Amino acid sequence: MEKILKKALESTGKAEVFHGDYRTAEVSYENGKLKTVSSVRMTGAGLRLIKDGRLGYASTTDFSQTDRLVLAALDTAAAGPKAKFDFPGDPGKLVSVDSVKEKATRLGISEMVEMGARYVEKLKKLAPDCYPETSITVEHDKTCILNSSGLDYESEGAMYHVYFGATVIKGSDVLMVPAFKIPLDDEYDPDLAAEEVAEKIKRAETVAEVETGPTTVLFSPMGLDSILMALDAGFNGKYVELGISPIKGLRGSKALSDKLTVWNDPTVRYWFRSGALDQEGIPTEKRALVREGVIGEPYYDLLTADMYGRRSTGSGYRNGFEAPPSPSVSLMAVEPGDKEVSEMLASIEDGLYVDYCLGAGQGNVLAGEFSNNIGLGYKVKDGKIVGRVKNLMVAGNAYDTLKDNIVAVGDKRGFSMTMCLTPHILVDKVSVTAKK
Amino acid sequence: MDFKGIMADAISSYRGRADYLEVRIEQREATSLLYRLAEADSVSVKLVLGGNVRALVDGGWGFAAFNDLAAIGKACEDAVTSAKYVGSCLSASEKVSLARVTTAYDEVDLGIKRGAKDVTLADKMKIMGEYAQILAKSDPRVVSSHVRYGDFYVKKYFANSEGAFIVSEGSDMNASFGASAMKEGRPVEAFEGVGSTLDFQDLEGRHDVARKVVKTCIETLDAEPVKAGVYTVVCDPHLAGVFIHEAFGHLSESDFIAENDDARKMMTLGRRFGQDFLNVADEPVPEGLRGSYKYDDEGTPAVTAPLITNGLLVGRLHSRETAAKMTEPTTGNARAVNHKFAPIVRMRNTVIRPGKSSFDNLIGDIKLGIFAKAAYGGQTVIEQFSFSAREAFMIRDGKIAERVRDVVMAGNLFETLMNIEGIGSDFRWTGHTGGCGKGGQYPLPVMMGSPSIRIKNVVVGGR
Repeated sequence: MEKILKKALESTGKAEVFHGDYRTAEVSYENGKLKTVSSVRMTGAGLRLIKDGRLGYASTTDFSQTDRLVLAALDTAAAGPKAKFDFPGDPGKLVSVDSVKEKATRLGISEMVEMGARYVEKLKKLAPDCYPETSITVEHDKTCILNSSGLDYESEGAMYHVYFGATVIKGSDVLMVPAFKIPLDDEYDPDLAAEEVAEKIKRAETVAEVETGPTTVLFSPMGLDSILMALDAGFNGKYVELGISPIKGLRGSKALSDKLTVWNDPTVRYWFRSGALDQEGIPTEKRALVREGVIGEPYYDLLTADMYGRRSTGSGYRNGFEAPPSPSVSLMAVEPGDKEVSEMLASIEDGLYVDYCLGAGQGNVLAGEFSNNIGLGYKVKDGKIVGRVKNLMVAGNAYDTLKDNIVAVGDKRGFSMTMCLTPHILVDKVSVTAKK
Repeated sequence: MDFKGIMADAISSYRGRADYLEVRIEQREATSLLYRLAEADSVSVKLVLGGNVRALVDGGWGFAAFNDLAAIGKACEDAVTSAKYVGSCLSASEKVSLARVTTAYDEVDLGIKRGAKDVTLADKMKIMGEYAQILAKSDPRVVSSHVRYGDFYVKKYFANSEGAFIVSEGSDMNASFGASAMKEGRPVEAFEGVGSTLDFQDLEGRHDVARKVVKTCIETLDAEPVKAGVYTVVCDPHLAGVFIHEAFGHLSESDFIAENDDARKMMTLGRRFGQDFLNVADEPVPEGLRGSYKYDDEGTPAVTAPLITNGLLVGRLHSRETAAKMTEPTTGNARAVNHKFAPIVRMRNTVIRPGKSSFDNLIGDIKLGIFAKAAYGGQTVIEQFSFSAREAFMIRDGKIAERVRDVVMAGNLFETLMNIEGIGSDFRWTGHTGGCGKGGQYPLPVMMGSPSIRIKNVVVGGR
């Protein structure tokens, strides 16, 4: 790393090297059978430099080619965006966030195989007609940022996560149940996972008819994917400054329901992006994107902030070393409310419970438009789930939905597929279209 | 570097401990450019060297990927140890075997005319910059626009313990254009993409495409969201291609079927999936398409796989593992998006064969319907799927009428395919940008080929 930085500094005064060492181990079961054990180790470095007021980026996994790396980065800088900023220096004393989950560092292959086997065995007992799927993944990363302003920041993260699901086929009826667990303060329990999936399968045994029209819908964390993706994009400083985010000009005004508070939270223990600094070396802070319906500050990385005369909010993150940082939330976390899921379900006279949708992100996300085929959803009648719904679409606009139609917010949180931490949300007047 | 020697050494050292061993090494260079409005927003280059080892021991798979070639021995050790462990956990009926294939010793030249490495970064910037100017400057109502260009060139080395050694190339260059304008505080968007695998020239002189994106964006400002309902929908070739990819293509990937008895029953060859005039296939040809290749990532020679012929299920897509499990012929559909992943069963170029109807004929007797063009995307969970259009128009009394927006459709495998009631003659290839995602492997270059198709009783979401 020092060698790359030194070489780069022969040609310019401003440079930064990001080094990543990513180790992944995974055990996967398909169709109820142990499929494969795999390990991946990826190491490499990204070089970012500013030359003649323009920013360039190149990365490599081949450390015998550092001269070429520097030349490539200089080449991109000749064409790159204008950059007036300098890389941040030593931030001084930092309050660290616990980022190494001890269990993840101890999990061996045989224990991971055992976790998978227990889930498969238990689920087959509870739902004999299903084909269980699961994968247990351990991720252990070490990264380091070294720059020309004197920053030398190392960080380490270790976590594990588990996918668990099942497929049930009866004739031409296919039910796919996906679920996953990212244990932060707790641990994954294969028995509980099997019970959760078996319950979903049981509830889907009969198919119920639903009519077209405005409907009360209880969205699970996974069911909220489309809506949360809209918020994530809407608060991206880049889109706000370009003038294409629906929150543009709304900062400080109450544009959403007072039941809604959403955080950009880098302080959650064991989350892979949590930490005192972001991946550009800027101090992070827990910030409200939405506080009781009032629109807060968008999030910026260094370059975006520089382009538009703002300050970085400590939101420059990378997808490994292969691409430059971009504005991203650390963790989007919706503040829990006070209603239990069972209470919210019981309150629905005639409506839907949506477990997950298809097609999230495949439409005009930034505008907040969503229109999704329901992957797994249930009809709710007089507070009780009465069967699975199929060939049914839910549609609306995320901003309208979150402004006028939130009835209640759940008290416990889970992850959406888009990696937001959110409770269930009960929403009124969702447009539902059924095939007659 | 002597990749061949390194791979041969690794295989000869570890072949005694595995029933099957394969090593892949890739050397990849890629460029990404992004213009927002008329300014460069991000420019980056990556130089990737990496590989992986996959071992089969006693019917169990082990896999290890690495960047550091000095660690190839460790990767072999890890893969063999993992495979042995997996094999020891499996019952006799669960053990994996591999279909026999012709052992290839070959070097495949893709026939690149002017590829990613033959064009300087400055030239790429200059050409994309011209498009960025058009998008940003030709209409004041366009608030934001982008040109996103990406390319890669990869040289792939494959060797296995059966004696195969294949050197092949991969190449892709594509650009997508987008424009946004504001309507009542919210953006409306328009997109279009261009791309090529063999010749950068295909990306030059495409100023008309940039202009069209601006025009579509401005026209969309006046469009109302579609009214939800159940409609007859005519899809243009691009959307029809995404439709068949989602609606049927993924289901024909045998890794889903091979070890699930209920899925095998559901997918019995000979079952009717569509009307007599529906013909669907997945092909590794013609040359120059993003899904075309001579050997897949297991070294299996790739052949065309007919999937639906005259409305009946006739075949599916295989890896060596699934072909052996189902005792069906191999098709060469095992693909890995890069060296970090093991190959899994994927599509290549998926086609609906053209029919005889003219476009006017397809829409002629539709009283109220939707003409949906180009795809935002699609997703499937086998029986249920969704697909969304970038652009759409109402069809009224057999004629294309006003533009509408936000058209997303729900599909059901068994109903929607049977509901295809007309197939046009206007076949074309689409899918020059983006790619397919499965099992965390994205974006895998695939293409779709289709004429316009007409589907009845489609659920369209909306307010």
